[in-house]
Amino acid sequence: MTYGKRQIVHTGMCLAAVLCPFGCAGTRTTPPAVDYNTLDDAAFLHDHLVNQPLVTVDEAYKVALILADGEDTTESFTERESALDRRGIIRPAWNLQPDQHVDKGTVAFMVCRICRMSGGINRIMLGSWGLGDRRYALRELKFRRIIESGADYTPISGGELVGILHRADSYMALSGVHDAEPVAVPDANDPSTFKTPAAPSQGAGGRSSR
Amino acid sequence: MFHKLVRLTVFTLLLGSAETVLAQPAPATAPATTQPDDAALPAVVQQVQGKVFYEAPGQAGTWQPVKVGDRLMPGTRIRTMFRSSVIFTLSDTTVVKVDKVTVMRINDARRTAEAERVRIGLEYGEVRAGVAEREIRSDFTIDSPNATLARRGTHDFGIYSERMTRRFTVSLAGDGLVQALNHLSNQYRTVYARQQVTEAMVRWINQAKFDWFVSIQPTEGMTSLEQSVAANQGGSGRGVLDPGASIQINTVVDGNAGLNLQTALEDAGLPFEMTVPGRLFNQAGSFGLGGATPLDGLVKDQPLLRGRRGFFAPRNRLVTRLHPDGGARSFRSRHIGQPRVGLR
Repeated sequence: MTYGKRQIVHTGMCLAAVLCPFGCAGTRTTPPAVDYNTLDDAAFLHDHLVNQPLVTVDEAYKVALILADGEDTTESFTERESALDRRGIIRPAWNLQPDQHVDKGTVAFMVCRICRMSGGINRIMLGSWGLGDRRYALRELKFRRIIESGADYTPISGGELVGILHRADSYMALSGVHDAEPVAVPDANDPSTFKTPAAPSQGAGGRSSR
Repeated sequence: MFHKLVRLTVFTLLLGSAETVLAQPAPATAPATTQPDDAALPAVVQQVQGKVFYEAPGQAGTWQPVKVGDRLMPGTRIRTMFRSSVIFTLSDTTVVKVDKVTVMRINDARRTAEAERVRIGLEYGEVRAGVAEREIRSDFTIDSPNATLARRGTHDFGIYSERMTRRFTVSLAGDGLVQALNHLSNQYRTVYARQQVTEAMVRWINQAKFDWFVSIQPTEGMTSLEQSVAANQGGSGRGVLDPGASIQINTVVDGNAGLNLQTALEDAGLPFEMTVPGRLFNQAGSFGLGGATPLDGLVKDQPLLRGRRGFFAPRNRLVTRLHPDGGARSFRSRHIGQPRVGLR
């Protein structure tokens, strides 16, 4: 193989990796013994999620809502995805499927949003509009010792996810997120809920959910 | 001896008469004042926050909400949700707090003639406890899949265990000491006040100057001291020392970092000394990285620091690996007679 052909093959592989919508994540092929949508939040967390060797996107969305609100009132993946998207906790551009194994970067991004962590300069300037958003979120959680180790593309087990959420909940309690006012989510059917955004304050380190 | 025997006999007679009196039907308003030996101790719930559930012994799968005043018998499982916790007491000497996202079981809680025995089984999550020893000795243990916490006359200790990852933390905030057993390695570690031990089974001294997290970074952005510290404990930068021990590590630091380390050791009160062992080091070594190693730019008169009591445990990665790219290092230099000082 000449150098030119090798270069073309390598470039093609790189483009395929970038354009591939599903990345490296696998999918769950065997459905769980019990449909977790029929379980209450405590049974879902302690009887189902913690025993999963790999967590799916749907399960991660469900537990993210439990962490954010204390309970999950949704009934399907579509509802959860919509609820999280409205609050900016996930990005629809990821195009994640419900049975797909969730990676640490996605979990980190959701935790950062829920915990209202603004992050560093890289995350604010680049991650805010999508470039490396999950990777910077993971680095932020590593800095805060909420996540110990791992790359942003690696899947996560149920036990580890519960441990991460345990520390995230501790962070929320210490930082006062539990007592903060909930983020006002505009309702598309009610124009009065759409408020004109106020001018950004001059204070340093302002906290924002976005 | 005779007088002691007489006193013992009189005491026994008095005790027997007291039991006889108590065995008579007591007035309706008089509460029971004695408790028979080997009695199971109920866990009395003192405080509940958020969503906490318990599963009574013999009722597997049936979870009920916990309320203040509930008396939970041995064999009861407790689980908590986010933003939730429960505090219960066992007799008047033991307080246990079950923190958020935790599942635990009261395996045993009884009072014998010699001691008050409590066994807590922690499936995962975090449990903190405080024990005040009174007339009866307290035998308190928290067992988890990853580690066991055994208490030795202390209060305000805690254990956190994570499922599937083997991670755990045993901490002691109050006085006394606890003992942590790592089930994976069968290592014991004694934890003193204001210390904690993790699955790495090394203690790290409570000094804020050394308590920083060094994440995995390109070596170009790190000083030689930072790289050496990052090589310890998987990038956390933590190192501990057994009290009274004297260990030696060898590292390379540039001039300013060496002065900073010397100042830090002096401020911490750790005895150390500057020595020149006379060994040689490799000025040209790049270890295949093409630059950006702690030895780059090393000049022949750069000193290293050596402390008689350093703050790194023996056989830790800093001794054996010495650099984030791993592997043991032995240095030889083309410049004979250059000073090299290691941390002792």
